This record gives sequence, C-alpha cells and structure tokens, in this order.
Amino acid sequence: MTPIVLAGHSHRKALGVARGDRSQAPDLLPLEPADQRFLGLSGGPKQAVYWDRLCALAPGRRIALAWEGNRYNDAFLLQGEPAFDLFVAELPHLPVLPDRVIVPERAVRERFAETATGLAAFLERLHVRGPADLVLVGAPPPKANTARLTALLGIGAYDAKLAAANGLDPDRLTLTPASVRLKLWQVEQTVLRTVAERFGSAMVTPPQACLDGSGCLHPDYWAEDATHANAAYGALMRDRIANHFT
Amino acid sequence: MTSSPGAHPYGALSDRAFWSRAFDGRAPRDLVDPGHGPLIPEGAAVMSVGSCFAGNLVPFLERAGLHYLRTEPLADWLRIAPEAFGYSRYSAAYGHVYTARQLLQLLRRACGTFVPAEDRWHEPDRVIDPFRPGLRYAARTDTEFSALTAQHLRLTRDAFARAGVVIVTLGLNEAWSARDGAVFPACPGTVAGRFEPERHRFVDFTCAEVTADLAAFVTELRTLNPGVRVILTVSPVPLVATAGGRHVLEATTHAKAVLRVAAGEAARTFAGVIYFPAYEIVTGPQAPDGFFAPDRRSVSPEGVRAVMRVFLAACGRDLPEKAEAPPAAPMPDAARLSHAITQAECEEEMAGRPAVALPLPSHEADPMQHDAPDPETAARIAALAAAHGPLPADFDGATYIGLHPDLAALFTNAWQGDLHYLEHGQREGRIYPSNVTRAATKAAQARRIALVLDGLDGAGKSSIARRVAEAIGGRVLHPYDGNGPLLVWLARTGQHALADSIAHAAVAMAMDAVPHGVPIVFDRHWFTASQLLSSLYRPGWEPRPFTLLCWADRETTVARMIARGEDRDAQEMTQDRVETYRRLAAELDVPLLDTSRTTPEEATERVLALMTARGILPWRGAA
Repeated sequence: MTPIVLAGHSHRKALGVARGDRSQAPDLLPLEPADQRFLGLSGGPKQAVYWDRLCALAPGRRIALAWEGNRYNDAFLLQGEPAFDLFVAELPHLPVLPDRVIVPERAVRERFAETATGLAAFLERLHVRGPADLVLVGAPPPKANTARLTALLGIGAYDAKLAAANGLDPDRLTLTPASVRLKLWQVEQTVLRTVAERFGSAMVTPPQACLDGSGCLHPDYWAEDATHANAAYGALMRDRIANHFT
Repeated sequence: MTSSPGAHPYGALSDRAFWSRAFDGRAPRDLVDPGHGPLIPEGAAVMSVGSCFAGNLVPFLERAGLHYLRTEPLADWLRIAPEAFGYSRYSAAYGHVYTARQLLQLLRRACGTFVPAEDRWHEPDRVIDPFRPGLRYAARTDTEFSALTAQHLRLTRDAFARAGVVIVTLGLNEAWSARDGAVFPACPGTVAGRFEPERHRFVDFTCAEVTADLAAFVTELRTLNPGVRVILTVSPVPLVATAGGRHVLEATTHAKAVLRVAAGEAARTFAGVIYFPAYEIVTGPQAPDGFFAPDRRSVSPEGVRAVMRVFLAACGRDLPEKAEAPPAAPMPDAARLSHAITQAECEEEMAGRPAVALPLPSHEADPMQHDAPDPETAARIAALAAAHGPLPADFDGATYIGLHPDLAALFTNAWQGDLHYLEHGQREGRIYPSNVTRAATKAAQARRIALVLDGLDGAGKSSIARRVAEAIGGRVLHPYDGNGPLLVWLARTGQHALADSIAHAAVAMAMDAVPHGVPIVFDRHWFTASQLLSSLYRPGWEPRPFTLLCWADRETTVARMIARGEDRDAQEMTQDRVETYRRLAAELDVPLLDTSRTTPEEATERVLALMTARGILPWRGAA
C-alpha cells in the first residue's frame, strides 16, 4: 500500500508536512518526524503550481487534504462592532452571550461561501484525476484561554506591531469570546464538510482527546501562535486519518 | 347678519381650492396644507412602514439629509449579500406591510400584546417566519428562530418608540389570515409555506375595519411614543392580483377608495396625523402618462420623483440630485487586524520559523522573497522595459515563477521573474497567471456593461436588447450562444466549478471583441449561470452590472416560442418554470421587466428610462 498523501494549507504543518525547499517544485517528502504511513506534499499552497502538482500526483493515491480552516479567525479573531453571537444547529448546548446582536447562522455560512467555492472547484479538479480515496482534514478548534492566547499574540509580535502597521490602537482590540469563535469554527467546518460530502469525501474531525471541556483545543495541543495546533495534535490526527483509510 | 349680494364662501378661498387655478401646468400647487408647518420637524427621526411604495421613499429621505431611523441593520458588518425582498430597506426588518391590520398587529407583536398562534412554518432545512416569508437568512432551528424573531420584534419596538415621525403607506385591503386573525403579508404558499384551506382564509377589510385599525394603531403607538407624528399615504400601485372574485381593476379602485377614506378619517380624528396625497399625485387626472411604467402598474422613477419633490418641499427641502452609489464601507478595524494576524500566522506556520518579522497584512502575501535587485540589475530591467515595452500591468514575477517549475527551481525573488520575462519569457511565449483577481475583473467588466437582460426563452429579451443597443450605440453580446447546452450538461452532472469557470470565460471572451468605450448590452449573463449552478458560485459575479429580468406570463412565453417554431421547447415551458424565474429574481433582488402585454418598443422605452434614472445613461462607461 502506498503512503497516504498529506497536503493542503497551513494546518498541514501540525500533521508533519515538511516545508521543503521553496526553490524547488513541490514534491512528496517524508513527514517531520517521519511516519511511514504518510508522505507530505511540500511547497507553497499560495502558488497554483502546488495544486497542479497535487492533481498530478492524485491518480490511484489516498489523499488527506487540509483545506483552509482559518477563515473564521481571519474575519473574527478580534471582536468587532457590534459584538455578536449566534445559534448553531450543531452546537445546541452553547448559549448566547448576553447583550449581543444575534445573527442568523445562515448569514455566517454565507460569509464562508468563498472558502466553500474554492474547495468545490479544487475537489472537482482533483476527482477528475482519479484518486483512490480522499478525505478532508478538519481544522483544529479555537483556543479558549484568553490570557494565554493574548500572551501568544504578543510573543509572536503580531498584536502591537501589526496593529500599529494598520494604524490601529491595540488597547481597543479584544479577542472574540471563545464560545463565539467555537461556533464560528463549527459553521466553517460544517460548510467545508458539506462541500466534501457532495464529492463523496468524509471529513476527519479533531480527536476528542484534544479538546477541553468546552470543545475548544486543549492547551496541551496548542502551537505557539493564536490559531494553529502542535505536533502532538498532528500525531493523533494522523492516527484518525490512517484509521479512516483502513 | 347677511353677507352682501354676490359674496359667498368660495370668494375668500385660495387658488388651491379651484381646479382651474390649482396647478402649474400639470403640477399641483400647495398640495400640502402649509398650515402643518414642515412635514418632518427639524431633527426628527423618521420611520417608514407600509407597502413597497414606502420603501421607495427611503433613499430620497436620506439623500435629502433627513434622519432615517434604523434599529436593525441586518448584519451588514458580516460583508455578505444583503437580505432579499427589501427587509433591509426599512427602519427594522419587518419588510413590506400591506394592510392596516398587519400594521396594527406588527405594533402589537412588537409590544408583546399579540402573539400569533401560527408563528412559524417548518421546512426541511429552515424555519420560516410567516410574517417575513422571504428572508434569505432564515433560521435553521426553532431555538434560533425564536431568538431571531424576539430580537427583530424588540428592535421594531425600538423603532416605533424612538421615531419622531412614522410614515405609513397603505397598500391593500385584501389579505390572508390565520385562524386567530393574524394577517400575513403574502398568501401562504406564494413566497413560502403551504396554503391550507382549512387554516387560511381570505379577508377583504371594509372601510370601517380599516378605519378602526388605523385608529387603534395611532392610539397604541402614542401609548408607546406620545409625541410621534404620523403621516399617512396610500400607495398608487394597483393590486398585483385579487382573490375577491372581482376584476383586478375594480378591486384596485375599491381598495384604494377604502384606504383613502380610512386615511382621511384618521387624519381628521387625530391631531398630529397628516394625510399626504402621494396617491393623487401619481393617479390624478393631471398626472402625466409617464408616471406609470408601460405595465401600467409599476410607478415609474419619474412618478416617484414627482411624489418626493412635493413631499420634500413640504419638509422645506429640495429634491436631491441622484447621488453616486456610496463607496463600500471600509473593513472594520477588528476584521483588518484579525486578517493580518491570521495571514501572518499562516505564513509563519508554513515557513516553520519563529514569528519575528512583520508580514504584510495582505490576502496575497506569498512566500516569495521581495528583496530589491542590486542597482546594476535594476538598471538592466529598466533598459529591457524601455527597449521592449514594460511588463504587462497584470504581471507578477512571483506567480510567473510559480507557474514554471524550471524557473521555480532556480529563482527565489520576484524580481528574478520580472527579469526573466523581459529577457526571455516574452520572446519564448511563456504564459503568466494574471494577478488580477476575479473581483477586480468583475468590477472592471461592470464598468463597461450598460445593461444585462436575462430571462427565459420567449421572455422578449433579445428584441429589447437589440433595440436598447441601437438606441445607445452599443453592442449586444450573447456569451452563452453555442455553449449553453455544455453549461447545462455540466450543471446536471455536478461539475459546477467547471461550468462556473466557463461561464466567466465566455463573458470575458465576448467582451474582448468590443472596443473600450462602446456600451455593452448582454443577452444573458450572471443570472443564467446563477439559476443553473449552486448558490456557492453567486458571489463570484459581484459586483453585478445593472440587470433586468425579462419575464412574461406562461401564455405569452409559449406563444412567442411557438411563433418562432420552437413548439417542442414550448411544451416544456411549465407554469412552475416560469414562476421559478420570477421567484429567483425576487430572491436575488433583480428588477422584473414584465413583457407580457407590452410591445418590444414599449419595453425598450421603459428600459431606457430605468437606465437614465439610474445614471447609466447618458453613457459614461469606461473608455
């Protein structure tokens, strides 16, 4: 059995996909640390050639695709005006925070239409090439510990410097509450899963062991930034991916 | 005491009391009693509610500098397509309110004194609000529905409570109601829901009932907001249909008479309730023919402007010139920084190194280095550009390198891509991926497009497109001629992304053949693709050019197809298919051009008038 190909956007790094030499064309490389069950497609996912290469490699292979998954942070990591919340059908136990504008879940879904369109377009290309099987890799859920998260933003030199570069006052910017980010993550994941299922592909969701009591990413599995998971998380995800293919 | 011979009450009346002296040409003078003072007191917050005509007033009020109250802005900050059916037009998202009973019940629901028994309809993937049946972003669950509806009614109550002036436009006296008397804005089964004869009944409100409903509305509104002024108007728009058994013309005159008398009664009974004669301005014998569109139902832009000219004059304001569309709101601060952080993290995550450098806050940030070339190389690039022409405007050295593996293996700097293209690539015929985004392409295309006509075969769009193009010196394009069956096949076989790409390419290729500056009229464009493909692909057509949906009833459509010898296709033109187009037009906020009973010449005139009203004509497209 040939190794499973891990490929996609930035969440692939937690899975062990090597960055590779960007002066070379994207290629299949052993994972870091090595895992014989997998190979990772290195290269820059912002380049069309990366996706062309994945399509070229697809015939007869088993592919695990990490597709974006950070759009909810891209739009809503920091709390805007007005502060809002939503009900999410898949998370019925989560209440709505007081004094917030409630927006329809369907409207938030619309916000993620672009990532869904991109995934649909790529899956259509990929399926034409006849992969043996394909699974979508779910993105890690948000990080709840506000104090640690704020500290990480500072460590990463993003917060104050990026705010200054954008002409903003960092003191006036606060993180969106974790419960709201969790719902937004869920909506984005539901949208991506729905697209994948239209193409007959399942989504591998994060393991329960990586979640805290609220459903957010347990601090043991945080990468040292605001939005990504670490290698320990990646190891557990790889097991789930491998199980899916067996 | 008696008056002198020859004296009588009419002798002291002003010109406005006499038909022979009350007009300047065809324009009524002093139509609004000057004794009222300004209709909208200085600084008053204005709320409007009523039939669709009430929505037409809002842009004029805002452009004239009046404060239009908005308490429910419908998640604009999410930067998504706006709500359908005008829910975002009004002070809160109550949508159109056609009858006095519906108005009264809206106020009571907002105040918690009326709770309809039939308050929701369940469909497989959504929960429908019977009182806002066309909401695009409908709830998914009962819990969400209850919360969204409660929020909507609270914000509606806020609007009623905070308004200094409430403008009410009465539209209908016919309605459909539930068993408990709750009145729906549309008959169940038309926009959404299912009609059930045992539960839903037709009501034809009498003059006494409408008068009583208006009186109750004013009384209860003033319990909430004692100082509020109410301006009553009657919509001049005829009924779209009647279920009362009469001819629709007779039903229309009856309805308008009932509403007019009831409004007059309310104005006579209550201080601070003023009747404004919008109906008379548009429908009176003095009104020019052009106040109605060729369908003789829609009020033309000229008619709306005539009403608003009188209304604003009574507010002490001039009718504003048509304003340019406001620029898109900038991205909120929190969203900008969220984006910058996430982009930076994704780059750093891929780079596998500590995050110390300050990355560019851009969607297009890429892993390619952007170190400047040394002075000698920079001079070489400049010399090549001078000798052989500059780099194409949409060229990007980094993506050029990325497309060619042999270059990607050699180069790490974007300027190396620039140099290679100038030195070799151009001569070798190497292609490069244009760095113009889909959104930028669409925006550039929209500037060159004067008009898009879409619709079913037999709707009349080709005849109208040809005539419009002749009138404005433009060119008609048919982007899907020849590949229409391919698009349909791709859509049916689930290959929507490919079909979407082909549709965009077909539009771009067709436009390439037209010199810049020549106005372009499309016979089919984004709407055709949108009705074929998943709604996921609709955002890719933004910003949309000005679009009208040509629509004719089934009989007319079929007759036109048969006349063209398309008998077989005509047999497949079901009522459902015809109605689907109409529904989709409403959902996508595309104005309908009903060609059922009009000649192509009349329809063309109507289209040209609409284009003029929107500032598209005289043509100022990108040259």
